[in-house]
Amino acid sequence: MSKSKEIIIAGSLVLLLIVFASLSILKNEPVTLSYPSYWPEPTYDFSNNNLTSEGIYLGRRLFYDPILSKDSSTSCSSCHLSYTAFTHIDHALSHGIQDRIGTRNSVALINLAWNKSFMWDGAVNHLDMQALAPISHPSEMGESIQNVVKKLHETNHYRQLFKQAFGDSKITGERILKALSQFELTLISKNSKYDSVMANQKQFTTQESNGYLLFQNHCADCHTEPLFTNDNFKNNGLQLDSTLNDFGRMLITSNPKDSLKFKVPTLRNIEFSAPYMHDGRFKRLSQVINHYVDSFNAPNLSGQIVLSDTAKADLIAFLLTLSDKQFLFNSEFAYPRE
Amino acid sequence: MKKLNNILIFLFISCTVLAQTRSLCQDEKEPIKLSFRITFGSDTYKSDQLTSSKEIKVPHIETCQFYLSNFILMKRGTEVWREENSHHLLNVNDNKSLSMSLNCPRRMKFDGIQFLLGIDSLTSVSGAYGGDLDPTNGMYWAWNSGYINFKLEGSHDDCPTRNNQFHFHLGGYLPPYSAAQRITLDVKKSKSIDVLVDLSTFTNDLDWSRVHSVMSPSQEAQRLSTIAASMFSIDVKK
Repeated sequence: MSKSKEIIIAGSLVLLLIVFASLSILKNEPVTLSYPSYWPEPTYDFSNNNLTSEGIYLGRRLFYDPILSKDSSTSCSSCHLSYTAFTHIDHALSHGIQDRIGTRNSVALINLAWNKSFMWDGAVNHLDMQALAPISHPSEMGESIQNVVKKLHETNHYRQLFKQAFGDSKITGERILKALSQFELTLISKNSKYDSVMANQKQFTTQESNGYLLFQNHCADCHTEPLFTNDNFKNNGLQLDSTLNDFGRMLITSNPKDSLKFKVPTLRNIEFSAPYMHDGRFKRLSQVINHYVDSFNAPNLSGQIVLSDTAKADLIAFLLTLSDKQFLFNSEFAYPRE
Repeated sequence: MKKLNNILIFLFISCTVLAQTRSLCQDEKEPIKLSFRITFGSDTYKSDQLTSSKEIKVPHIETCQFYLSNFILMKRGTEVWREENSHHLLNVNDNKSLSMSLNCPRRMKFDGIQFLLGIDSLTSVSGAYGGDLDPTNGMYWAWNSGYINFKLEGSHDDCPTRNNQFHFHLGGYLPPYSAAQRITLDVKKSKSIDVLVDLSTFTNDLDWSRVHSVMSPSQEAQRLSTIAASMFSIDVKK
């Protein structure tokens, strides 16, 4: 073989190596979510939004950035704080820009990959589209997605973050929403004492065991294990608050049968997600349990629950086993310090 | 070294064959130009040029945009070609949006075209999309998920509203109020398809004093969507 031929071959090989090396640099780092084997498959279709560490980080930055609101005062995290199960605890109803108060209690953002619909009335049909609702609501963030795109485009660091996440620095509504989804999909709570018991690593106390039996008998139809929600809508007998006139699911379906039906929330981290119910009317878990026991008026639930004071305490003891400190204090979920 | 040489030659030949096959496949396509001509009655529509007379009051149209999706070419009632990722946002004030290419195979025989006025239910529940479906286009409902299939905004003297404004945001994908309308048109030509969209078919049918604000999925939105679908016909003048 002539020397010139060898040079050409060697040159080609070097060129190929450079191409492969640059491809591997450009390729984002894929992320696969992990969850216990006995959990169902997630509802979210990841094939339309492949998780990458860069996409998740961008979503996290957006989640904590008040730039999404009209006056740059309110971020997603204003109502969804990591340390309180990604909901707020200082208001019954959500608190938005210019100290405006909304009409609903913010929802705890937990295990969203398994949800089929979002918001208390299921108004939003896909996690990707959920953020549009608070961004555009005049009492929440009061901003338009068009203006969010414009504001983000004006910042160098976001153009860079979008490039890292999506391959180029183009900022679109789709990319903002998908990045937010990516971060929110990682908010998986799976390390509570309940989970350790299910994995045969820990045992319930006697009181927790009693509470677990009561839970299975009276609550599990709607708050179905292991996600502690059946992701359905129920009228749980709450009286209509005439100051809000919130008829729940019926506002979406226009079907009178859906009047006063609201999304069944997960009970995971319920210890930290007070106040409770769609309008935040109960501050304590004991009030919630008393609602089901003493003020029962829910024809579509299975029947009145009779519980002694001891049984109520046992039930609460079990509910506290759903607290997941690893979730609440996970540094990967917290405010992203640069 | 000889082995390496053979591998490189093999790679080179494979790439050449692959490239040629691709180019052959591309040659087999023959895009059909699909154009939409917007009219108001017998006149070609031009924004801000509609004027009322004593006899007929016409609306002042500020915004008119709508989704057309799921384009299918038909031959004797049978589907012969379907466009992939078929979602198009048309804006009557943006000529560019009013024509498109259907990238179908060469010498395709067809005698009909079918499409949806609006977005299908599967796309409506499948999360965020870009391009014409990007929510920044202002054609998506944030607080009751779903695309606005057809948006018409403006004013009419008979509207008993602030500044005589009307707002029609027609959409909804869930039964019983699913509003997307399937439109089938007979086509005679095969190189291009010209569709007429007569806005007056929709606006002439309205009782403006009563119907002026429809902005959520409902029976009324469904009724108006069927009227909106009747605006489309094959443009015989072209």
